[in-house]
Amino acid sequence: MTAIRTAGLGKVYEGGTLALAGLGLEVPAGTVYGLLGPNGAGKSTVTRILNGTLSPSSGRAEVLGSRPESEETRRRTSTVTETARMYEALTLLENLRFYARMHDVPEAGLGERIDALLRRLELEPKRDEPLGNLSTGMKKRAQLARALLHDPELLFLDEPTSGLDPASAREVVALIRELVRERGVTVLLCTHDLALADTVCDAYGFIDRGALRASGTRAELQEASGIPDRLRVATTSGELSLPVPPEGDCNALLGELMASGRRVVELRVERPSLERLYFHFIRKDD
Amino acid sequence: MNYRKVVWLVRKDLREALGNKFVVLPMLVLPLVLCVAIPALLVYLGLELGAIASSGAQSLERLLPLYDIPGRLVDPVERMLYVFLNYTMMPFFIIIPIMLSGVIAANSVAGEKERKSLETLLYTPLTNREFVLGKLLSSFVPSMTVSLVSFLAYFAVTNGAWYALRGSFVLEAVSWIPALLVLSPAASLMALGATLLVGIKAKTFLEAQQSSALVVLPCIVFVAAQLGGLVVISPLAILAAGVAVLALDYALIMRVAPRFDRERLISTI
Repeated sequence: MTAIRTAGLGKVYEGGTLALAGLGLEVPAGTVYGLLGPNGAGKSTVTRILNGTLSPSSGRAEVLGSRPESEETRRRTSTVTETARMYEALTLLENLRFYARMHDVPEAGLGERIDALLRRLELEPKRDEPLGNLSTGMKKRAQLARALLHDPELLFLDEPTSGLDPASAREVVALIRELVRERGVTVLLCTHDLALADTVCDAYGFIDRGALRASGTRAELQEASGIPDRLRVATTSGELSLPVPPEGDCNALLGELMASGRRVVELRVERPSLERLYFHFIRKDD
Repeated sequence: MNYRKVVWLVRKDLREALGNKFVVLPMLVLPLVLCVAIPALLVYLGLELGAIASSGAQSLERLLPLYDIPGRLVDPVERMLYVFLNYTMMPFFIIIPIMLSGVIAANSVAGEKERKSLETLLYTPLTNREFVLGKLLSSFVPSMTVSLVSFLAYFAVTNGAWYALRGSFVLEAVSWIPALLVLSPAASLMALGATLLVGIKAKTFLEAQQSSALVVLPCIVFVAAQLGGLVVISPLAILAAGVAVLALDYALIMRVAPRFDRERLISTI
């Protein structure tokens, strides 16, 4: 099943700025899809069109089988962005209660639901504190708690770990994985953080200047790039990066290395890194 | 339309507004000074200390036939105070809700933009109509409440002071009804509509708030006209003005409401 499907999606802002130029995207349900691209590539515009806040200038989009701008879509999805904040003068609990009500979460069981989320995100001791008193990392986790209040089927996450310390970032990654594994949630993750994307995403889309340059799993992207695997050989006199021998037969290579007096410590096939693939596609048309 | 959501939005906005000193200060100071301190001082100085010179009062006497003054008041100072308290003060009860609704509306739309919380609100399933109604009510209800409470305080303080010094009442509640219940809410809605209209594009609280000041201008003309005796506005004329302003409000709100779409709001954040 496809959670997000767009075809020829275009967006020109007032003033003529072209943000999207015919973007086609397919995100399977129950996966984490990383939308990766430089600043100004159009990632936020895509998110805002898909969550129904902006309307496209051309093309079409479908989110969970509905039009993005429908109330239904907003009810079944959730968005966390770097720029969106909650109410700093209100306590964490007041904030969560307010957003739960905006999302029509039933009053019965709401308290327990909030408690469980606060426990899961280690925010329980801060529940009665004004949000303005919380650290950046706590505010980010509070945003995640807010986003999960209504059990969304699809999460739009824009830089969910920026500003977080490594421990909190790891906690967020674990939470994303748990949501996908246990609840079948689909995640559209927009980020610059290739290491984060590499850790958590099942598939990737490289976006630049409003167009999708490549999309797919790591293996699909590698195939499309034509970048071959490399053989990483650690020897007593240093590391070597060599082409993988035909049909993966390393015996001859090992023989040559041993004959040259080097001892092979480790031998492994290395796939091109996500970063390598990213720069391959993003720079391709420059 | 989910009215419960509208109520939650109003409650949240009120809770936020009451935590903002730039909103709370005018809510307290404006009514206290205009509706309690000034009239109380005038009554006390005028009746007890005779500080308002009779000659001054006599010079204004030529204007007094324009007004409907009870025959029991013969002293020029008392007659002048009667005119001031019953006629000149009236526009202040229109200015107060205008200024307050402007301040609160600016805080609730442009202020939310400034504090970056509007974006999160726009990501909820709240409909545009629920959003507009919530934002209108969260400014209108507190400004009118403060205005009516201010009037009750004014009525109690002024009549109380007059009664203590002269054994009678000076304010007649009936003549205030059209101003308080029709023109004042209508003018408040006008300021609110103007502030919301500007608030769609404004990026800051102050930028949006300045727009409401424009709506105060006709009221200042009204005060000046009343003071100078140029016009004496009867309760019936005030009622007619209120109805006319309400019609303008309707046109303004019909113009503002459709402009409150997510795209327009988010593109100015």
